[in-house]
Amino acid sequence: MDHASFDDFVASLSTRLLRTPYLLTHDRALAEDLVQTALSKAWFVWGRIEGRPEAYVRRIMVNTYASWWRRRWNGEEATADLPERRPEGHRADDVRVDERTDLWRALERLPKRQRAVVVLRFYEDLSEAETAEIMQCSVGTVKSQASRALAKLRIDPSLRPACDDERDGERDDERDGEHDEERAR
Amino acid sequence: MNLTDLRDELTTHADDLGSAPDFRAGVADRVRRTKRRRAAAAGAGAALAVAALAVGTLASLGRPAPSVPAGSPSSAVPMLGTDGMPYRTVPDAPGDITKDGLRLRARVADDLLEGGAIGDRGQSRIAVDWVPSSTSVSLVGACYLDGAGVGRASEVELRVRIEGMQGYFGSTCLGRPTERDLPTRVFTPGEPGRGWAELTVRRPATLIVEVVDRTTGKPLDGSDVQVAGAVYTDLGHHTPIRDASGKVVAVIPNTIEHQGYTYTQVRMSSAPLPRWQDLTVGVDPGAAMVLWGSAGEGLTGTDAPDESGMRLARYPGGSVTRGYGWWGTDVLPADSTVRVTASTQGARAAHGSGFIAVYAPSP
Repeated sequence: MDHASFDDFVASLSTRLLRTPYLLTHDRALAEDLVQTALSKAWFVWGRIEGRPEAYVRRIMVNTYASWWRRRWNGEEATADLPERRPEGHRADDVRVDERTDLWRALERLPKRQRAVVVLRFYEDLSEAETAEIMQCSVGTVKSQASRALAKLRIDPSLRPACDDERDGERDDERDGEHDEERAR
Repeated sequence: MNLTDLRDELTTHADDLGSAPDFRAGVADRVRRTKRRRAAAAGAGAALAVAALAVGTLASLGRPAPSVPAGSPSSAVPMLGTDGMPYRTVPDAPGDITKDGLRLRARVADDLLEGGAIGDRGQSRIAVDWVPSSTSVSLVGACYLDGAGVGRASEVELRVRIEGMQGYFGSTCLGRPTERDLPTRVFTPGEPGRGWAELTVRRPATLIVEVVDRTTGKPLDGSDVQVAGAVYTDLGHHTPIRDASGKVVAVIPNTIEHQGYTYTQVRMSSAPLPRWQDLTVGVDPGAAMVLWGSAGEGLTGTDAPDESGMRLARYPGGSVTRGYGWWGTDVLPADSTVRVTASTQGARAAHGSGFIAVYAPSP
């Protein structure tokens, strides 16, 4: 592959490539930084990449992210608007919106490698073997990291179900999740 | 929390992200910087090992590598380069040295060519005689290997030295460049702002640029190699950057060039790194450049905090990071706001200074 194909690759896949690091970092600027870091690393070996370049770049991004703690800075979150006040008597949809925010924040509390497994398995829909290849670890490690990540999310205080009905529903979902992981093996 | 919620949450946030910016210019910029940095690391290591050309802080590697001189982006409707900045090709001028698609410009911004040469293909050593008119010089050494892979490049070393002096600056050979103009500042020996004490004004000197076997140090024979070398004298005005003790740790130019256009410094802020606080600099309408980073003795050496450094956030335009002890230029989109942030994860640099200077198109 020549570097003209690299430019084409960057131009056509930038948006797709940006999503994974954004889900990893929860910070658009940092995600863009991560994409550019990975792409510039890939540039130097572009002619020697075996297999799909996208997978290779994704692998660099994930592993750079996992070892990137020292490069983080004190992040300021700039917001254009003040957050809306929560209405007094909220409807079911309102509850759902709040749950998503809580879940997003709960994801932020996961250790980096666990968050990476969650993103690769449940957003990218990669198999355990594919996830292991990208993270350069064993399938067993992927399984254990995924299991720990889900366990942490389930016991996260902000995500605990408020009533028995929701708890029952969650048990059903947990069983679905086990089946899902079983299928991926 | 169930897996469906989890998938929905991830998908929702990913979808909300919208389109990515065009990363091509940013990636190209990082590739260029990585090449320079690798060359700098090799040069610094070699210079330290032989401790002779001494004094060289490789500050120049953090300096901009202006390509050509001349007018203002506003003087006509300019073409735009891949980075969105005005771009133009400057024709050959008297005193330029050209060969095989390479060019050493006679004058680039405030840098005046004192002497230079571009060797023939297969010629692995050149000598450039000149009579120094100043001790504020920068040395250029470049080496190109036709179609060479990483393996071949790792076997050879470029050495830039002054005949009669011990020591050399070491660097690596690259593939053929896509840009015609060679940089004017590759190695700037001496203390920042004080010139190179090893050099004597009006005493003839000879610059040697040669490619050697990295293991044996012996001259290399090979038809695939081409070298170039030059000496530039810096005639321009500068702004000194001082650390907390008042020592000058860097001097930054008041005029820089980018893609054929000149830019003049319009504001600059600096502060010692130990007490650095986020600094936000507004940019006036119109394309502009920013020169930013940090400088200080030993910041890039073994006592440098690993992977720590500074970050430039551009709105819009994304962000770039730079390790402590490195500085250089970046482009700024019109009407953007710049914020420079020193990394606070990992150890913060205990000395040195950070700085940011904004350059506007020259009238």
